[in-house]
Amino acid sequence: MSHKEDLALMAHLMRRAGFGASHDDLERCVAQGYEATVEELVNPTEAQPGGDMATMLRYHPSFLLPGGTPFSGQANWMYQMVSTKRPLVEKVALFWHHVFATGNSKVDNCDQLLEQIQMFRDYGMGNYKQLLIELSKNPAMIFWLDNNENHRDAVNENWGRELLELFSMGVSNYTEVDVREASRAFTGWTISAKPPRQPYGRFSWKFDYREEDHDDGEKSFLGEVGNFGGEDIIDIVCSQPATARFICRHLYNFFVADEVQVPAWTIEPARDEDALEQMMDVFIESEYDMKAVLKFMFNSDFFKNARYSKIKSPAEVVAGTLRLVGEFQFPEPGILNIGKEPTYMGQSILDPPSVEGWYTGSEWINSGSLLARVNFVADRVANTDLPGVKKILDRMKSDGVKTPEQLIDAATEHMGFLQLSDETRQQLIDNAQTDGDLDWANEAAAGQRIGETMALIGATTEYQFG
Amino acid sequence: MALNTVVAGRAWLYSHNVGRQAQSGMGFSTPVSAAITSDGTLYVANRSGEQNPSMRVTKCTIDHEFISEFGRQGPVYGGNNNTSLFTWITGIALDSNENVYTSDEWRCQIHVFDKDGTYVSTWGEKGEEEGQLNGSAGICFDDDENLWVVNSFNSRIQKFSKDGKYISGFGVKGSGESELDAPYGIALDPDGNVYVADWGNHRVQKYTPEGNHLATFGHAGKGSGSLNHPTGVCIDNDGDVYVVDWMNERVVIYDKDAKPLTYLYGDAVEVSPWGEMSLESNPDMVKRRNQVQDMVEQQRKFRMPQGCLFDRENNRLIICDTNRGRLQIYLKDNTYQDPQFNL
Repeated sequence: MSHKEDLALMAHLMRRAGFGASHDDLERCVAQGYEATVEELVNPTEAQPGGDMATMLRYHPSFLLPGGTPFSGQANWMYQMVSTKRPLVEKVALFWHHVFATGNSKVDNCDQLLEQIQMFRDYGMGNYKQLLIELSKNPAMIFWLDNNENHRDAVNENWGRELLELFSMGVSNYTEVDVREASRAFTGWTISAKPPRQPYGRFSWKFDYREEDHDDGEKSFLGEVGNFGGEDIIDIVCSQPATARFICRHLYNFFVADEVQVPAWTIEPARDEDALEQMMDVFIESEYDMKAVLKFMFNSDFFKNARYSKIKSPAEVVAGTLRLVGEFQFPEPGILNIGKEPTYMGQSILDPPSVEGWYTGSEWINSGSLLARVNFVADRVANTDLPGVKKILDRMKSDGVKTPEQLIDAATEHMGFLQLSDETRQQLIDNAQTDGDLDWANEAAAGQRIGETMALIGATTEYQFG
Repeated sequence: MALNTVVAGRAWLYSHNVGRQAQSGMGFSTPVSAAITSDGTLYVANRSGEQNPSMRVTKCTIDHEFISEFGRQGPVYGGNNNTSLFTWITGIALDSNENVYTSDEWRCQIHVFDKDGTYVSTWGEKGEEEGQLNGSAGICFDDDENLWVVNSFNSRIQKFSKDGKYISGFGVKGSGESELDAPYGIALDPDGNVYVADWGNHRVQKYTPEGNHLATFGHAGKGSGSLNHPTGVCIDNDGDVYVVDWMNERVVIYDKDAKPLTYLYGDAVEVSPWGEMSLESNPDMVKRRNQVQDMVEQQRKFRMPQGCLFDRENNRLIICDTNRGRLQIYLKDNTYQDPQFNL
């Protein structure tokens, strides 16, 4: 494999397991090797800190407890995506936010949603069974799915149903009786009353197990009988092959290639049944270890061969582009807007449309969202004042980039070693030829041309796809 | 829970709290610093949030009388295009005529208002050079009415005349013994020595007025005497040093030799009069409060406090309890008599 091909493969990995990487970072990763990079992503070291929360909160103290206003909470999370040195941790948090979708529209409390995202950072790459237990105790989830209204003598099935339907096995793998019995097992799993928002602002909910409100009677669940509690239900759920299939299909859909939408999974075969079977084997053999299945997936041929088979989510477009251009590495004024940008493209982070989360793939694209995506990228990559863009210009100048062909090839490399189709590449070259060679004697003009070229590349399928 | 913190022959008695969360009027919006006159008039810098026109200075008394607010112009839409005087209001200090000086950490400016809140002037030029501001954070006056300004972005401490003429400065970015990293708050002791909250190095640095390093208070961590991103610092008449240990959500009190004495975690057991007004108009809030098992224990604690000041004339410590929208006030009692333990 050529060095350039190594870089292109590494860029693919970093887009999927993170939010892209700079030319320099890709060179470093290639030097250390593909598998070593996967290992570094899955097991980041102390030298790779997460997003710089202290700096953000120093300058934006109101981001700590944003309350029901989503913008501060969204900016808080987007800044973490942009500034983190452990991108897979953040990407996995985004993955679980897709799967365990919990929304501010009902919770009205971004503090608690951010706490849930932190829980995904802490447990999202650990054991799936443990993650489900943490999720069951997560205050935002308890309120979102009404488990605080699930009582021994008045069962509420919302959490029990979604646990089975959307968070583990998927529909068609359980009965209505199973839903009822699972819900009974989670009675008493609630949240304690917290001080109200007035007069001193928001306080946090805490998980509260109330034994007196728990139905400790016998339950029959998925063919097993016992005095089950919530943990027992999760044990049984995790022992079902359907759960491994459902979670691995979600992983494939999020990290490898776009699948049909989740409601169609009972009637449509997986995009790559063989890959899915392999992932399920690893998941089950490792006893639901997320790191094991992530490592297997990223190192697999089916992943390496899946370039441009997945449309980036709006959050990926925004975070990836901001990291590319080096904007908001510091939480400067204007940061509130970066949390809103994915919303303009159809993904209001911390506020998914329903417990089903977002429909992905081609559903991300409509005439409005496509325009928002293209314009967002164009506005950034054509801004030669931004540090990442300046760095690209400097590198192109020192590399002696001059002809239209060189310009297009260098720009696509700096935007993630994109492998454009021949037709797209030729169209870009034809366009660049109208202005001839780059004239470095006039750096401002050269910079403007490069920026405009990168803006065009930002509109290509290859950039908009992961 | 202890409302009186007694240690090493000293006592800090919790007095009361002023404020509530409010976007205007009787309350504060993420207060980050405060200044006080000898008769108890407070000026509080409200940082608020981006695209929120409640960034302002609140003038009130320590006895809960709201007087006015100023510095607010709106609407505010963030970035450099807003119409407000402030982008990141950070420090606040009073001169002997009760003129109000505020720092803006992003714009690198000092705004001056008179005591009625009328805008007087602005000075400060952004830059890296001597006499230029680069992230103007904490500010304080010395006895000669010169204004000391922390430059957080290039880790320099500079002294200016009241009208902004550069006098002297020191400070180098780094983590070495005398160096600073993104410093924040500043205070002077009665001898004129300079104390700086060395935010990025998790310590407080003490210098002579000429910038010679004298001592270091604290180190990174959560344990005894340690600090996690300290933001505020102040010194009392006895030389005891108070450090707002921001991310550990406490105030660490050191003696003048940098030995840790004790900690304050917040003692706001009562609802302030302004807070009571919120509750009186929202019966559901009262009902909810009555359902919380550990209501007082949760309510009393600091939540990411940022600023502090010591009112030497009245021997009282004032903490900006930033994310609770209030000030917590303690009296230092040097005549405190410990009761018998077998009461």
